[in-house]
Amino acid sequence: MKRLLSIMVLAGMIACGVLSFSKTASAEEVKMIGVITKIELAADGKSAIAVLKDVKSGENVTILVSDELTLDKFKDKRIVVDDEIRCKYDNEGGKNNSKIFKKTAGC
Amino acid sequence: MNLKRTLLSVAILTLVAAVQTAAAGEDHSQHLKGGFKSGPEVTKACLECHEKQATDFMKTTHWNWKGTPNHVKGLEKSTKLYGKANMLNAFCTSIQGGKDGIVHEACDKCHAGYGWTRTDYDFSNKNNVDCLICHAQKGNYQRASVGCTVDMKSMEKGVMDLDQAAKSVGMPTRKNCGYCHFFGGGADAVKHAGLDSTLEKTTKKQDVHMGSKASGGQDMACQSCHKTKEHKIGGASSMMAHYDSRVACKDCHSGAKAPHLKSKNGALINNHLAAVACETCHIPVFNKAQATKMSWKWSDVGKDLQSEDQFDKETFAKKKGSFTWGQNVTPVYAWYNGKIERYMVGDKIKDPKKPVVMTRPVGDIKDKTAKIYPYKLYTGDQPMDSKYKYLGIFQQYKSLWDDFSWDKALKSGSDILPYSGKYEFVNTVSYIAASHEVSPKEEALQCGECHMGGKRMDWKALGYKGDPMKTGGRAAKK
Repeated sequence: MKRLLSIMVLAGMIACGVLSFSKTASAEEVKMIGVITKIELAADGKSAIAVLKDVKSGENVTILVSDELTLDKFKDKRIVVDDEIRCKYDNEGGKNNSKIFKKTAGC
Repeated sequence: MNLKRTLLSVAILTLVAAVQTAAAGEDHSQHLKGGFKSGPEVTKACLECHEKQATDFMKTTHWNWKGTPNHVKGLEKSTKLYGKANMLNAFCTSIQGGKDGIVHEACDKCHAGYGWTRTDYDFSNKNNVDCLICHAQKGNYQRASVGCTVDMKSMEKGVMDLDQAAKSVGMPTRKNCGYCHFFGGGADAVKHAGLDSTLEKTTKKQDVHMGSKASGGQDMACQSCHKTKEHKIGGASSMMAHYDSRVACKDCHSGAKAPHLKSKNGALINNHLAAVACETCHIPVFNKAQATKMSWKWSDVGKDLQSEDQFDKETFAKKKGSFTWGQNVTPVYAWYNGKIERYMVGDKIKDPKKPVVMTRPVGDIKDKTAKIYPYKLYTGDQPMDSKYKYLGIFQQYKSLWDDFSWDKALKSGSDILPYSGKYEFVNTVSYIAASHEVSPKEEALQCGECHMGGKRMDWKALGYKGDPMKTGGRAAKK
């Protein structure tokens, strides 16, 4: 009985450890729709910071964009301040890394 | 001798430079003064040297949005012209709704011309050709979402430079064609299978032809396959009644470049070619990078449903209804002999309980000219006139999308088709060809996908007794 209890406690501890480790290791994925208030391209052109004002909460969210397709759109002004954006990002290490960054526009 | 060699070298280098310049396109910045205030002003300048090109363009479906129905079975002898201008689909359905066809002013954002805002339009006025939408390389050339003209708001905001756009003209890039074709159906990736804005800059894994050179692809422009002559662009849409000319893999992949020459089992694979299209094995899935719309229920317009995310896209919009989406979609397969069966405006629906076929390839196992091709199976519903038994033309833009009244929207479309005052929703089905996103050869279908128990092909639905590897192909003696 004691042995069974020890095994259960040990299993519980391992499970807690695994779960708590997973939580810290995996990034939080967030989806939002927001209006661009600021775009700032990095000097080397390989990344950009875009600030989106969340249409639901009104809060400003800073997104790090590094995919080439979106950066091109910033550079040739196909995505500009005041555009409404559907965005998905991972919050990892305190940075919001863009996964999807697209205009909501459509007919 | 040395002088001769030197002269020959100079001549060759000059020729190479000339060919390169021609391929890259003439630098137009030296020919244009600038100071343009509108699209037609740019066109006027283009016409000074390119009147023939404008005249040629005005004979194409990109300008007229209709042509002889050479793609539709049963309409081969028709003299009436059909196209986007007067056909129905199961996406935004029609551009004809509303008084004087007011819907044009929104839908015709993608017409390569200026000012087609109502049904009546002067298709003979070459000053209205929009050269820039296909040829501008810089300046962020944009068309307004309403009004069929240059986006003046972007100009005022300083995010579009019409002069720079005009001076940058060159051969179209994928970005130019994609401005409309990536956004078919009203938004990115909605309509066409495997054709969306991610192809603007992509990798070989997504598409061997369009993928970047760095990724091992060919970085080809659309017109590399969609060969163009006198502005008539090759290609037959699986939804459209007319094509100017056709595109086929064998246009390039023949002779020394014939398929499977280096394949270990080349002869065995080539045995398939009489019945199986190249696309069937080489496009195992479509919409690899973002989801495409797989269904659209117009009957949910105006309801208060909860929108959910499916592949990061919304499943409901009050003004449009509900949708489903698919990414990395396995195609359905059907025989195609080069003709389509197409629902045309006013066609009577014999059995409203069965899905109305909007477009479907023609062909079957007995048809030696047909091959098995891959398709996106797109379903939905839309209103049918309960008395006249045809699909209604309704005004979505500035009617249904404003007040959700089907009755009013259908009345507004009754200039084209009489509306009895009663409607009901019928299901629709469309077979949309999957012909882009060709995968690297390592990812082409292997034997076991379809044969030896593989479930990809519904052999019986295709007319076979069973897996033709066991029961014999269509050419097998009985």
